[in-house]
Amino acid sequence: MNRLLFVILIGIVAFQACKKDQVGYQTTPYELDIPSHFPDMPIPEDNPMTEEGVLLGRMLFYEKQLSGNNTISCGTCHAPENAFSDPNQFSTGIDGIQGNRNSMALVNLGWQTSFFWDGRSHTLEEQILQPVPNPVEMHQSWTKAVSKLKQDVEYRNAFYRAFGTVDFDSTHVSKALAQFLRTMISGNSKYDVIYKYVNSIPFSAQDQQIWNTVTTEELAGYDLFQSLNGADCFHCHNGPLMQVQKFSNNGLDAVFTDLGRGLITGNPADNGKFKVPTLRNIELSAPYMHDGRFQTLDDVIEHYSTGIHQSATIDPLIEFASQGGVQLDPDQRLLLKAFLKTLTDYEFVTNPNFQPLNP
Amino acid sequence: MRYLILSICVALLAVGCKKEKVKDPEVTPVTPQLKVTVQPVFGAENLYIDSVYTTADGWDLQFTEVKFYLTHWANGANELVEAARFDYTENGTKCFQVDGAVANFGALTGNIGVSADFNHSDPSAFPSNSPLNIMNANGMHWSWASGYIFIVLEGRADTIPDANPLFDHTFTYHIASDTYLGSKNFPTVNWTDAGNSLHTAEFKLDLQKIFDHPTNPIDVRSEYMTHSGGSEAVLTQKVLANFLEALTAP
Repeated sequence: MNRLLFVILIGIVAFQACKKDQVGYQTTPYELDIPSHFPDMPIPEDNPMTEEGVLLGRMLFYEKQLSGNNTISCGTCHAPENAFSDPNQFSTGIDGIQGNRNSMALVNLGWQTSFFWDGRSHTLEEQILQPVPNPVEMHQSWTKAVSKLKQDVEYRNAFYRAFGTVDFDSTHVSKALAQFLRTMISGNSKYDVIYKYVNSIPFSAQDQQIWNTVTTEELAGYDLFQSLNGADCFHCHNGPLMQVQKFSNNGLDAVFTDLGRGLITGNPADNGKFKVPTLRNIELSAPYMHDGRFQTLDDVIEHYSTGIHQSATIDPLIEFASQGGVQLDPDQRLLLKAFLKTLTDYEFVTNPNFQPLNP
Repeated sequence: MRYLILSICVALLAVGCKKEKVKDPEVTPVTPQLKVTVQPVFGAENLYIDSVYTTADGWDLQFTEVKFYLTHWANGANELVEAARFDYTENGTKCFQVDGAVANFGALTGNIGVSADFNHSDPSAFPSNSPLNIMNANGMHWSWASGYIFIVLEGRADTIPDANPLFDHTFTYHIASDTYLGSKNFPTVNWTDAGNSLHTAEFKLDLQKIFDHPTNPIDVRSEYMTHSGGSEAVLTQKVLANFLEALTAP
């Protein structure tokens, strides 16, 4: 009797156990540190932020095996010491070939709605897939890149911890890198405190300390930056991100050698337009413009002051184009430059969480 | 005793194996919706971004941006929409689509622009799906306490009568600040049944009326820029007044 009872009970337990879901890997949600004056960051439903994913993304960002000859990583052309950009006009790929556009500074990417100077990618995950197979950049098939990573037990474990699989592919690499890049938030510069002040957003104690260091020259430069009859920069560079999400022809050329956005859309009305970049950390991310033609902030200010070229697609917001620019005098230029330097976020560029794990 | 235990076990197994009853399919009530579109036109023809249109003065115009905010559109106590943003370049003619019964909105009154209750709030604090969130403002917030740009009309103008096709200057009309909050009353709004409990109303925005207004015309040769500053009051008021007239309900 007892034996029969025991067998039946075991049967019931086994039956109930079979109904449960399989036990899977366990990830830890990653809490983004979003500044109080920033909007929420949109996170794709199919790539939630996890501690494991961010850590893996950080490993991959500095992983040279992603390039064909194991010599360059994402961090090579987006170096922390250069505000995650390249100090060279054009970055050089593994075959010694240079592209024709300057590496964009990586900052606040989680809020971007288009990627690359011509906006050819709409999501971060999509953008990340491009540099690895690009012949002028890392020049390696994704199949080969993933195969190399799979030979490394540390990566196999890291992918399993992040995504619950050791049979990972380029989409997993892309997702992990995107998670890491979304953590790279810059919102703690002098400009941020000025922004809070003019928008009546309450200060923290740290904000008050920073505000006490803002100089009259920097504030005068801010006024110029915002002034319609001054530098008139704010139409394209404003808000917490210090940019608007659009493509613009800012009067660099009368004849275009690079069609920019027009190459993507095929619309002649988009010729000569490029993504409006953020001005955050602009002091550290020279050279400037899509082709890195300007080496210094003085060069940039000179362009907007007297160097504007008219063309068929010039942005109407370059409002003084018919006069060649906004005609700033030497004193105004110094004030404007002083303000532009308030956009440097030292906490961001030195944040240990964005540095290589094993430098 | 043995039979009792066996019976309990069999009962447990039966409960464990019991399938959920097949339920009758639930009928989800369809919520009626209302969709407002705005078709920019130039006189009799639909307006296209970057196409060329000629004013009564003979000046060629090429529009690059046609955008505006509307807030608190309602019919009496029934609010249709709290805030919406029209952006012809970015979104085409769609302005907004919300839940609502057509019977409640045979007439509409509301603001063109952002009402003061929203205009000076932290633009990052609005919900991420709000058109007023700084991420969705798409350049229509000036990032200081003066708030949002209510109406944006931008483009290029050719006011030199020569054979040179290059447009010689730009025009920028940015209407903003509480002083220039526009209000509009549509005594009748005719909705069209689009099926599936959706009704649509296509408003028209005739940009020719802004420049070629019979009593209040704008000469783009000399009146090509306003950002609603103190010294620009005359042109700002003119653009706003003409814009309000140019927007009509179906």
